[in-house]
Amino acid sequence: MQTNQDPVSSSDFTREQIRVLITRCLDPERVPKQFKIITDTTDYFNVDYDDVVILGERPYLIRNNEREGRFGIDDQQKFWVKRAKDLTDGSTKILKLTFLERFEAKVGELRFECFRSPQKEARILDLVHGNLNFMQGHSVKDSEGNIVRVLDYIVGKTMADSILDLGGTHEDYFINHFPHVLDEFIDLVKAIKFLHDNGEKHGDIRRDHIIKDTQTGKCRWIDFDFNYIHKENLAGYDLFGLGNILVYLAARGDITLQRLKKNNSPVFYDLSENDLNIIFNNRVANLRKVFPYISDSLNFILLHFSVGANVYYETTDEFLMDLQEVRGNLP
Amino acid sequence: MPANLDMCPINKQILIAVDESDNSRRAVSYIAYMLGGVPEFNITLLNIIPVPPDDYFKTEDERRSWIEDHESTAKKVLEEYRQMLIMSKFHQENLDVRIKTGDYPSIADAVLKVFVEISAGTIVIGRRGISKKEEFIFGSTSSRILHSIKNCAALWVVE
Repeated sequence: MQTNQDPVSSSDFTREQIRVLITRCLDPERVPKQFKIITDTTDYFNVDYDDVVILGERPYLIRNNEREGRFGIDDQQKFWVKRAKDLTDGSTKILKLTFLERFEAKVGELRFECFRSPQKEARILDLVHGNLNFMQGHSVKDSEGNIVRVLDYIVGKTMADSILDLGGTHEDYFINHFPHVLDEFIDLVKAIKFLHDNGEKHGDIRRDHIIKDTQTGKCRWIDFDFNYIHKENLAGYDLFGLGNILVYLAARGDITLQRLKKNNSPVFYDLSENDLNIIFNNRVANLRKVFPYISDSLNFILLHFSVGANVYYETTDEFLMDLQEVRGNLP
Repeated sequence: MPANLDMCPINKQILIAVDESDNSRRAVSYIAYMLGGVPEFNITLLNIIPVPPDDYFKTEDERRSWIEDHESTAKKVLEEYRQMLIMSKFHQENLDVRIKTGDYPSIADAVLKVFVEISAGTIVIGRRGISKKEEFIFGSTSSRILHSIKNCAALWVVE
């Protein structure tokens, strides 16, 4: 029978030592009387609240499962993504356990096969170490070789939410706040260019995958474990995501046909199919028709993501150069 | 990275990049009709099988099975195309069949690499007819080859 002084599994910790570490991190009344010690995370459903997962000889006290609302869409629990306390220093971490999933992504009418790739996310974490436009962390293998990503918890809200309160009217927002928002966006595009330059892609660029870190004030990309066969263009799907975010930031929200019609906007009757987003055909890409003070040069970029586009951005370099030109003409 | 194509020779070595699609079958039929019985032409039929990254597969067995299935299909299809060419009076000794299985994110780059390896002068491909949306997101193999190929005899894109 194992005693409290015996080392647990492959780590050097005894159960008693772990209990002491837990008492340092939690209020006395919250210290669990019993806890499981886990070194194999294959069955992530079995990794539960108050369990201790030992990874790379560091013990992590498991708290809640993360929810899609923080990391993605809907509000479903992600059982393979755990919030945890690093018991060696008390810091909050996110543990992403290995979950190999394949699914069909639907982007407008386009369908393609996607899969989660812990290897890809681990590679990128190494690549972007110290780059504050990305979430930070490292990967470690558990006792069964599953790749677990140990991520620093980012306090903040999504960039998308952070702009909604800026300015009064849209014109006020666009003139007085958008230049700074564009600066932040340009930094984010540079970060994605860095990935592409190194043969990697984000893979799931969406506006809720950018968190504005309240500690650093920097916007940071999160969640890059999605993968797919990108065929002839490594950057294509990422660029599409960046374009959608730019349209959202410039408009301070989505301008949809439904919204224009509901508001009885005369613009609704002035729009043609060519003005709409190339994939999401209910979103307006030609924002100048809605906001006439938007510059030609910015609108020129937005139109690359419209049904009427004849040319597309093939690289983040091209996109970045045009963005910087637009920024140069703003106050 | 695309292969260095600066020194492509003009010759009678033709590379037909194929898969199991009707577009590829049309491309082979076109060559059979155009060049069948004409002496001195050498044809290489090439099928690229891009294998997904390791963690696409849950087990090594699944990966092995995936590759076996795809290679088996490719062998059948290539043999069918080879027979089409033989029926059109190509000599067997002038026909080569290659399957390349590996980490090839870009089929165009993989085709161009073989193109240089075998010192071919012409590439023939069938056009998939992808939508504007698909080309926007994933690019187009024929467009990529067209833009990468230099100083070369020809690229034939069969509709």
